[in-house]
Amino acid sequence: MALLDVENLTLGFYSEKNKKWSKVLNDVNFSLYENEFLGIVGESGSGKTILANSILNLIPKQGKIVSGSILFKDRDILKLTEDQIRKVRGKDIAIIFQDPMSSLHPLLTVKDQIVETLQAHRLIKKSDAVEIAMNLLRDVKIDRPELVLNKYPFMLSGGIRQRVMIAISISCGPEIVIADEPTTALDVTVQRDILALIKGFKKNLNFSLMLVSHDLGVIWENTDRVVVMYCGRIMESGKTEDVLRNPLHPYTFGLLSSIPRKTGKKLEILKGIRGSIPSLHDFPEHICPFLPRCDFATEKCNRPLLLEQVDRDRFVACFNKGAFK
Amino acid sequence: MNNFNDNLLLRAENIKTYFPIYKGFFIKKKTGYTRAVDGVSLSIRSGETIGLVGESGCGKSTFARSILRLSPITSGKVWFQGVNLCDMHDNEIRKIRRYFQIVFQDPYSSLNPRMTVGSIIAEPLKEHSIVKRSELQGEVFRLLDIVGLSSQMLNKFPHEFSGGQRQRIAIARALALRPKLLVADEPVSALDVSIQAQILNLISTLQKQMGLSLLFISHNLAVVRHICSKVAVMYAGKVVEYGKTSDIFDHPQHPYTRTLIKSIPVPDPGYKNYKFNNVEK
Ligand SMILES: Nc1ncnc2c1ncn2[C@@H]1O[C@H](COP(=O)(O)OP(=O)(O)OP(=O)(O)O)[C@@H](O)[C@H]1O
Ligand SMILES: Nc1ncnc2c1ncn2[C@@H]1O[C@H](COP(=O)(O)OP(=O)(O)O)[C@@H](O)[C@H]1O
Ligand code: SF4
Ligand SMILES: [Mg+2]
Ligand SMILES: [Mg+2]
Repeated sequence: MALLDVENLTLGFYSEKNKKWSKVLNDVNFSLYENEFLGIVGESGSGKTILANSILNLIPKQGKIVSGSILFKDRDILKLTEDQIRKVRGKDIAIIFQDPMSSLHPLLTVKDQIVETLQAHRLIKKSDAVEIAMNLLRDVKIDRPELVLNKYPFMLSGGIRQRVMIAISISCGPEIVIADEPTTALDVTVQRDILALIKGFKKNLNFSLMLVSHDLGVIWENTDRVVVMYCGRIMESGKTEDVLRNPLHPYTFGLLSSIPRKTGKKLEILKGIRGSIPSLHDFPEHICPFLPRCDFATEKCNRPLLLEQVDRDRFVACFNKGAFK
Repeated sequence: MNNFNDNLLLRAENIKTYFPIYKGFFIKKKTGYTRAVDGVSLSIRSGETIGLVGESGCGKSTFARSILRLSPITSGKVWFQGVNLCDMHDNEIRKIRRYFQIVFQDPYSSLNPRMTVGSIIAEPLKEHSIVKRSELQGEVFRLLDIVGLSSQMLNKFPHEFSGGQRQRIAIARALALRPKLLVADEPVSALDVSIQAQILNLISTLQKQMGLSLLFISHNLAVVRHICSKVAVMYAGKVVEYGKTSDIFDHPQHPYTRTLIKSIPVPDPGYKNYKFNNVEK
């Protein structure tokens, strides 16, 4: 059974400048199952962060839910009151942002931030909370936790900061952890350690992870299933192995053929994708949004797109599925 | 020592760039040095593509800035066409600098926000009198065309462009001076894979067409493997391994190189067979 069900979610954004509503999320459907790692991949500007934040009902003020629901334990997150949602956030569902600096409080020490989170969701004494904080830092493999505990975020390196964020996110035993590009700003070696750390927790803590990334390598190595997004829509979803080994959508295929790979003979030109993602207010709505950049488009593609099920747990939104094969 | 056969374009010898570390706020006291670059030697031949890899802070950018004399070096020599750049006066350097151009990771901060694309590209052409005044416009159009931008974009400002387009503008400006060496400091790190592929294709095509030498700095090893024929691996200010790309990747010798190679997340190398002959089987 699914732990989280996002159903027909459409989110409109109003632009003062263009005097116009646009769909930043357009009929998004997917499930997150218990104990799985789900990847969300797509170019920057495709709506990944907006989607991740919607799950915690963090919707910017110019946004409005047009339709849909986000079911978590039989409750629609979008219908919860601010009080109810605050109890969910951080406790049942935790989020790790790309830039830990922006989500850590700059004027609080690491100790205070962890203690604050713990005390917000659990009835515990301060001294116990400090003890737990210390253990959490050890869990995220920080060498000298007693030193880090009394530091302010700006005094820490990017990698340590992200470890602290992870410590905070797992501190209340969440059922879902959403990680929005948790390692994008970090070195490859640090990135590998951080991802290994998150994976390690999965074994003991039994949470589901939604890993947002634009790096297909990171998605391949760390997720069980994947959702490919473009222009606020799901283009393709399914088991990571199926989707990346056997993509059916020209967009997924284009992303994969953008990556330099090891070959016997040196690759000269990467096939890639031409053009670039439009800005939100130019997202095509009544045709396949990928049409302007697609090498496999036909007249068929000039109509509203639908996500279709092609197999058990495999969905594709394209009128010429697998045309490139 | 300054032997320029073998198409040698530039030779850096034992470059050291140290930055003083100060303690105290009101009374500053020098307490030591950061050895950002600590004895690096590297030869760059005409038309050669060299990758410089290593973790953040290991000194890659400082080395590049040092050999272009954009950063004062502590000791070492940089030979270019038989002269040591380190002995040159600033005004001589200015003349010679057109042969070395640099493109940065974040093109936004390196492009003047108040100048149109047209004037950004025309500026170096005018300053170094590369073309006659009457040919200026034509040359700007030619450069825009080379990097795949339309001439209609001439009067737009940097903020009106996407990251990939801005990187194209930065490349057009760098190429305006017909350099012999292009230093690209993490030119694709801030870009999506799709746009990264477009810029990599552009750089490697131009490099071949113009016979440019390329020093390509990146922490992305897959990208370096794709674009460079040689690789230097830096660690804590030193080059720990240097060699042909295939040797470095297939038979890394230094433990740090091995760690670095192991850390690259690779999507499954063998996805299914496609019609395209330029995509791996
Ligand atoms: N102007 C400066 N003053 C003082 N220290 C500096 C200066 N520039 C660089 N450094 C230090 O020198 C070292 C090397 O920095 P450099 O920017 O060359 O690294 P890098 O390999 O390019 O890293 P990245 O991958 O993050 O770009 C670092 O410790 C850095 O903090
Ligand atoms: N607060 C906001 N106000 C207006 N537009 C926004 C806002 N946040 C994001 N957008 C736009 O919504 C689209 C999706 O953004 P985002 O979810 O951040 O993409 P991703 O995380 O995939 O890079 C983009 O076109 C972006 O410019
Ligand atoms: S629907 Fe048509 S335009 Fe869209 S991705 Fe498929 S083939 Fe391309
Ligand atoms: Mg994002
Ligand atoms: Mg650098």
